[in-house]
Amino acid sequence: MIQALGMKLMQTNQSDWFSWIFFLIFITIMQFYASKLQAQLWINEIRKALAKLEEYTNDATKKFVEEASKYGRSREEVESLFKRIKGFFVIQPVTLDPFGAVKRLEHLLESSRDHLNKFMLEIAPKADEWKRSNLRDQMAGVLALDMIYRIVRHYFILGRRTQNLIYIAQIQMLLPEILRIAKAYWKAGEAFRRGIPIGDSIGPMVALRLMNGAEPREVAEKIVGAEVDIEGRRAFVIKAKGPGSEVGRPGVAIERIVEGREGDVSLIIMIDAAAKLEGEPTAEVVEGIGAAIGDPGPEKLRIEEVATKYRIPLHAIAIKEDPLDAITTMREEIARSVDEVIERVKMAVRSKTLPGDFVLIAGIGNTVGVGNRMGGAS
Amino acid sequence: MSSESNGKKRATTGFYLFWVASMVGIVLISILFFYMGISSLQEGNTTDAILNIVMGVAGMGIAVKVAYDMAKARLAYQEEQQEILTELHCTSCGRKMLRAFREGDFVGRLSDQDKCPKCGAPMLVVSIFAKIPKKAKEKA
Repeated sequence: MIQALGMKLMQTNQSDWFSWIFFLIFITIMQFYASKLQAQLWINEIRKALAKLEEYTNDATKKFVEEASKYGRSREEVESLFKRIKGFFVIQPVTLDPFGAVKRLEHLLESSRDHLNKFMLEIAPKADEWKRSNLRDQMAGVLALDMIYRIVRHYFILGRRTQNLIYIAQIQMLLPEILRIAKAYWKAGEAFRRGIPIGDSIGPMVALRLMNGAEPREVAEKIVGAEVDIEGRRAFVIKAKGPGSEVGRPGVAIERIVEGREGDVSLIIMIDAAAKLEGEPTAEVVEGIGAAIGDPGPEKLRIEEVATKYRIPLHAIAIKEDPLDAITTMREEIARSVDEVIERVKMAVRSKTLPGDFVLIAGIGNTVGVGNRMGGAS
Repeated sequence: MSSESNGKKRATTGFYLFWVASMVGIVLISILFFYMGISSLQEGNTTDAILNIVMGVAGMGIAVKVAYDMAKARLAYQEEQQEILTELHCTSCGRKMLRAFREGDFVGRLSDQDKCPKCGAPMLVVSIFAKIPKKAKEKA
């Protein structure tokens, strides 16, 4: 039977005039409509990605509303308040005249922080400071997701309306990366909700271990520090005030401490997570020179200015990680790098300072899930 | 120990059945083309033989791709699993302990709920991290 079927198929497979006409018509149609077909295929891909982005945004919003409504407001009230903050933005200062641009940026960032903090008081009035900061950054993740969704939707609608291959192609080609970033923001919400350290918390985690149980004090806005002995040197270790989600003002803290000692600081060591390149191992510890801090500018400027003013060497220790690992739950290998970083700090202190010198060590990053003193709270 | 699915939806049985059916169908058609190709070759019809064998190879290629996609879809779900662990050290004897993360845990916290199984002293939270399965880590 199979043989008979095979024979039949072979007979119909002959190249007759009908096949040629069909082939030529197909080629002619493809000549004119290939780009439209391609555009349609890409539009479908964007549509699918958009549905996924919407799913991430809705899920993150739902989780945020659920969590925030546990602290003094009903679900409906939280939802209505959240609608008000959706689409929140910060306008970058004008740089056409660069004079004072960093000061202006600093002011805008402060205003934005105050605005969000006040909003959190309104949305979760019964939450403590720790929970409020976690909620604030959980919400920041939702806002970022919402913004990604809006941008992709914008290009999708524009591309579909105009059938312009450029609009469609540029968003389609970026889709895998956009989805990867969106997924990271979506996962980050869970870390902030539960107060779990994220990849960026490695700096504060190292600082906490270096503080070795010493009683900390607040040295600047949301920055705590304690003096300890490291290799016979007086070391003042600072970190953001935890265990809520805070980065604090490390620039202000370093400036204040250095100015307070009139520049009598032998070395500033900064520890922070740094973006790894593809192919580099996660949690690789590397060293360099400069202010290791990933802020938009104001904090870094303060540190560089005060270090330059008093000619204090700036030593940077970076823990390499994927930028998306930095905003999601800390991976085991990153957490395990703490001991190596501490060893590097000790080596830098030994090689660059003398016994009795004063060293400033800053653990930079978000301190979510990292307390202020080892054994300090139960 | 708790594990997080991270919201990724598990593919339905219908989805897998559909892919398996497609794969079986493609494999059968490919075998038929192979058979036709070999028959043509024996009959001395080289043009048809080449065409049918090429179709058979292409069909097999598609079947392999379908199987790969299906395996990938299954693995993608498994890769999402991760455990959030809290590492504790005994404040007295230094004994280490790992357990699932609990709400309220933070690094530096002296946990009253966790007593050292060896000496009974309170334990200190020294680290909290996500343990990612080895396979997913290798892929990353």
